Amino acid sequence: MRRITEKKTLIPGERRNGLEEDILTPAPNQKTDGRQHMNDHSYNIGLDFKPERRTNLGGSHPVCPDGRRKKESPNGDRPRFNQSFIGKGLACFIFILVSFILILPARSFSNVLSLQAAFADDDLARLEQVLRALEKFDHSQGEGPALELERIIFSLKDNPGKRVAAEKRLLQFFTSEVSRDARIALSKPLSWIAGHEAARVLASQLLEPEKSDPARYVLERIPGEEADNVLIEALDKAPAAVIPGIVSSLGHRRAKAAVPPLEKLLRRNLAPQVVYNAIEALGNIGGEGAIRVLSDYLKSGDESLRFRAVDALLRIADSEINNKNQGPAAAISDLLLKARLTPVQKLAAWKLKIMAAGENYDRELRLALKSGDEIAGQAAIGLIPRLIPQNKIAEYLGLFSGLPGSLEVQVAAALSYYPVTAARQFLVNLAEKSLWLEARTEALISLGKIGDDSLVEFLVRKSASSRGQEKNAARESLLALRGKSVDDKILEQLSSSPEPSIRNELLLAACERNIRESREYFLKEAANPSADLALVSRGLRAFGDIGLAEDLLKVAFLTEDEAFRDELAGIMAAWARQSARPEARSAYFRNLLGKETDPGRQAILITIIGKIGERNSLPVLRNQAKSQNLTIREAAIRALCDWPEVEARDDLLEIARTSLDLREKVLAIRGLVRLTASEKYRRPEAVVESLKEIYALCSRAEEKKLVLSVFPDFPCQPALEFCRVLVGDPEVGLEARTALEKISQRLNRQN
Amino acid sequence: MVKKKGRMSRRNFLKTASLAALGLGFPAIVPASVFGQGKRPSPSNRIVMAGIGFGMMGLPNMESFLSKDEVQWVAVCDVDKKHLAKAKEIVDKKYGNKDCKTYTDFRELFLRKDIDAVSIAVPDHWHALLSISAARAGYDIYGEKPLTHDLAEGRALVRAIERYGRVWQTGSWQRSVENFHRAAELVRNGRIGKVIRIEVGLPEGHYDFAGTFGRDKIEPPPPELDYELWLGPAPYWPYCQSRVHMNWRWNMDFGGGQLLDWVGHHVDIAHWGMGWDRTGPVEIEARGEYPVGGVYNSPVRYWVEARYADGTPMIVAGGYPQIWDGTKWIGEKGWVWVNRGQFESEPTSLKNEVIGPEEIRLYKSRDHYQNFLDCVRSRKETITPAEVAHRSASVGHLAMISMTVGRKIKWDPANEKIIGDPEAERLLRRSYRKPWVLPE
Repeated sequence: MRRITEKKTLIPGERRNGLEEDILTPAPNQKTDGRQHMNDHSYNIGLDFKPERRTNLGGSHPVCPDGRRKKESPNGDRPRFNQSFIGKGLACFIFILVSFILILPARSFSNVLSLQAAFADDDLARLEQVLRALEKFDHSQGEGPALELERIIFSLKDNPGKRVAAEKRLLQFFTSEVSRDARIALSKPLSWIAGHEAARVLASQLLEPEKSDPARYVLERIPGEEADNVLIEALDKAPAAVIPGIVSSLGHRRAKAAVPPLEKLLRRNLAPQVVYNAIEALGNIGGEGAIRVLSDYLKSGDESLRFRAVDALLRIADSEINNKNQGPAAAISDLLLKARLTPVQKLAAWKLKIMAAGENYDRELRLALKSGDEIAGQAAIGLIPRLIPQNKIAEYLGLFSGLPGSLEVQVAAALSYYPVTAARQFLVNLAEKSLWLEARTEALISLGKIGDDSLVEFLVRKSASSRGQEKNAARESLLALRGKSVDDKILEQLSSSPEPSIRNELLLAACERNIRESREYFLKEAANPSADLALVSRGLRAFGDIGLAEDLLKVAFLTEDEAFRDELAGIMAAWARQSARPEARSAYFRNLLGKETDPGRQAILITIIGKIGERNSLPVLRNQAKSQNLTIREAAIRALCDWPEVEARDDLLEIARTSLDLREKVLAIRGLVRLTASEKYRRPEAVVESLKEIYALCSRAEEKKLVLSVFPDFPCQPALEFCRVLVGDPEVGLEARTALEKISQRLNRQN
Repeated sequence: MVKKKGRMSRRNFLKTASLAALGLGFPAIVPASVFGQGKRPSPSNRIVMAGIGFGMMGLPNMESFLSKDEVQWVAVCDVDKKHLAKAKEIVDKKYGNKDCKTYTDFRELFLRKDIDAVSIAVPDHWHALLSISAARAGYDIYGEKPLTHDLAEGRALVRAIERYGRVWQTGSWQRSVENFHRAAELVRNGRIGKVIRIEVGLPEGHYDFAGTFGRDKIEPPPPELDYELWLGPAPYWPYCQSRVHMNWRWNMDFGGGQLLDWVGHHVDIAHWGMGWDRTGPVEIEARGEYPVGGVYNSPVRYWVEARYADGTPMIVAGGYPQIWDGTKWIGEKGWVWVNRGQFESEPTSLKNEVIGPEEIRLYKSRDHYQNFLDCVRSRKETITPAEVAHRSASVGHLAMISMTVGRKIKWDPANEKIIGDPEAERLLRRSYRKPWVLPE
């Protein structure tokens, strides 16, 4: 993969003056290969450029004068042709400068005008040169000539004289024997400037299969009736192959005058593509005549014709409504609703019927809702938010009772655009009683969108009592309710000691809504043996701070759930780590530890201190690791094992070497492995030495395997050799082999 | 009252019902629903999908949909039989059968009545025609950005989606990513004060997605590719490898270069943060640098200055290091910058601020594909409906027109007309090669 960054730098700002243009323009008689010429000249679209800032950053595939692709220039060096260009440019510049100095003072104003005319000639000369390059153009030559042509056309388009001359020349070129790619490339800039005179010139080109498309491209953009007339006249003369294109151009131009000729064409030409395109074009053009012609196709036995005609009529009706002409749109909807339609067309026709009623939509809306036709109902409900004002929706709610489930979903969604005062009761009923799960869910979602504090109780109850998507919708809606009063209501509900399932939903909402004042309820919940511990933890982490530590410690001291106790220790450690003074983060807990005599509580405090990981606490932990009390000692060793920095490594090494307690030894080894594996900044050989040392301390296969699993992270020769020796070991041979393979692979990659 | 008997099937309901395209503002919040959780829905409750175009985004899009239990993928369509075979293989592997049908012509696929939604990921020049055809067939659509290849096509597509009440999701998936949502919400709630300037940084150059740079030789198309159909409504270009799969994007008759590829992401986010989802700039001036050689003709470096009705300027640039990649809103009280995986603000504390209960909350989606599926069921608007995608693309299209005419253009975003510049006005729409017609 590579990027093209090759480009010409075009500088914004002042328009390039004639002098600069002259410098950049090779002499008309300069004999150069077209592509090389293009590469010697920047081209931009409508923007000026300065040669001194022209850059070629490499990357693309510029073409050498001999036609071969240049190699990329990764360092962004200028291609050599730029240097020659600069040389020529400089000589030219000096020449013109001298000419100016010598001639200008002696010239009169009329002479200046002649000079400008000369520049105009230069523009046309450049055009001539590009056209010559384009004569046998094909796209494999690169887009340079085409882009250059576009640039020239737009550089002279604002000068009426030049523009006319250029248009004339382009038309001449277009009608001459040039390549197909050249004609297509030329059609684009010609379409930008062509006037109505060009339309007549292009008339004959329309009839030739190879020229017809590019001629149409130009004609489609020419303003005025002349282009319409040319296209219409061609309908009678053109060979069959090009008629579909001409028809589509008439549609593109929305040529009103084309309707009768298209009708005539449809009577005599039954080629499917012509008929299809004529129907589509009539849909774009619109108007009474088009409606009449298209209406005939509604009775067609050919489904594809009917399908297109319906779409065309729907489009015409849309345009009529946009133009505030409801009458024709209503007539179309009546026509369509009597025809054979696909379900989606019927929906569109019903929508149209209601929209076409304009201010009198109410009657049509009610008619659709009462029609017993589900598609009509869907169309009506879909339009309700667009048509019915907020203060009128109550009048329609009665019509929504007893709808099929599929429509209840839509109603629920539609009511989300109305005030809660109007829609609440209907939506609550739907959420409670609908037989359709999706309707219940949608009603809950809408309640969340429009609701207020009056819905807190309902949504909490719904969250607690429902399951699956309904439960999730109720929860999300509780989160979505807007207003501070909603937060207050949640707190009020929490204060009323609700039953556990409701309390959990309230606490969850408090978390999601970021209600900081709820923290006391989380603290209270922490002491509840049946609490949702994950939720409690989340709330305490989010809203608590070290000020709550005393209360939370009491909970931690009392709980018998080891995992929860560890989690609480983690929460308190997290609070402590928020302290602005790193050296004081553990102070509170160290002080308590100093006063505490109960080993269990001491162990908890040690765990917290370990999790905080403040450097000043390390001596305390070292001391406690030598305690005679097993609980305290184990807590201290675990704290050292979890220590965030490698400074605890020597302590762990010592324990691993000297402890007679296998449990402590194993803990220490695991801690050592973790700390050593984290030392990615050391030389692999040095880390491997440490790992070998740890391995030697292992008495059980489990720890040996653990150590071996770290070796591949430090690939080096000593690691390779160490593992190779162990491959034959019945205890760890498999792990050694795996490590060996990984180390080898990584070493190979490094090499 | 509507009688309960003779209810239509879910399939017909999905194909006809709609609340989409109401032309209203976004809801403050539409929580993501949780369809598809738990056990796989019964076949009659699944959303039946098909895909068109598997040369680039089509495969990852399809794979994302295939991961949803509620989706049943039944058909794939591509003008390249190699792409088609690969797509079919993935679907068949997923379901453990050989049932996925293949089509090389979308017109045959669109005759099927059993499909609820299609995922379309084709070159830009096909976006409008295919999507309008899909809407006419009654399918909901997951489409790629830019919405269309020109402004007239964009409006035609938006109208077709509205007319037929279809659900449309654009592949501007950044809206469903948390940091973009959060950044836009902060800006929308005035956390940086009045926005005085927006900067949008996009990629520059051309990227060789397909590894075909330099393969410019004109040659007969390979037998597996229906090149005539691949070209479709675009002007005729002879076949060469470097201009088709993936790298078509660098040619203006098929794509819109980096600018049009990316406006649907970062400009889309800029609009979101400003509440400009249903409008566009009133003035735009752009300049571009074009490749020197080679077969591509889209700008490799560009600078776009847009101004909106309230006077706020927006710079969109590719290849200018002073404009950071992504979207940056600069306000009187600070700035917010967001990019993929990046989110910074000044003051830095802004990033952690919580949106209060009284503040504006933007449409929330946690999963772009799921959001589409949820809306297919509820008939609500997706997080990036067609109108929104059309407006973000409009910045790119207008910039291209400005580059072409070489001057500032004035734009009426309400009526979608260029003011006082007939030459620029000519460029709002492009011609279609026969026999293709754009139903406007």
